Amino acid sequence: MKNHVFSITLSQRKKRFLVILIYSVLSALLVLWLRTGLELTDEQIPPMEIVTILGFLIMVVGSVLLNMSVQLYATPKTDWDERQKDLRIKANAKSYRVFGVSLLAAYIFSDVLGMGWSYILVAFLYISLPTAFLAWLEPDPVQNDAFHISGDQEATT
Amino acid sequence: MPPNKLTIYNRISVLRAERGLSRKELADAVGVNFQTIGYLERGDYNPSLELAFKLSEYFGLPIEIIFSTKPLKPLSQALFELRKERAA
Repeated sequence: MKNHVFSITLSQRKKRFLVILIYSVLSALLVLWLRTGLELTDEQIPPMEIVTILGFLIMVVGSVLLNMSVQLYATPKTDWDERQKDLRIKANAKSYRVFGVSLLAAYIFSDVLGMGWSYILVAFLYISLPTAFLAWLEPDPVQNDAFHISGDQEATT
Repeated sequence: MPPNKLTIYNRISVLRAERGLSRKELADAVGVNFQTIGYLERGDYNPSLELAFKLSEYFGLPIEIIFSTKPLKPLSQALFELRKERAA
């Protein structure tokens, strides 16, 4: 039994690219709205909306793909072995550190600069960071072929 | 700064192939995910002491034959050198 019905196999490089893409789009949208968000003219609003919707679409599709490609989620939590549990702990530890910093940043943005919506971003980070770190940390997947020897350490050393 | 991660070399892929086992079969025998066996073979993951002993028991070999902190010689070469030592 799998945790999710659909899963895809992606290399570590592709997963890292997806992570970078998602957070780059998020950062780009943030910069865009921070610079012009409150002072838009009537002509500026439609293109900004289109860019924002496109950005959100990229983020949503990217997040779904990322979620489906994380190998850990293909195994039920009760069947995780030592490596998988260790990986989960590492991903959580790293994401909590980043989350802590972003919470502090959100507090500054909200209470000092009056941008209350910054907490919505923190919520997004809280949900997405563990998966992003998992995808980042997971090595390239291996195939379950019968007798293929990959990375034979005797042969390479 | 934390010290560099110790590289542990192993002969799992050779022993697995020698016995005609798939990664899934070996993984089921020692109670881990087949990806974990692949990562062990590639050197992407260092096993716990418990897993190392399980593999040692499964293959019926001493743990130092399967794992080493130094690069491992091919089994045939190691055997040849051992015989040579004994003969001398």
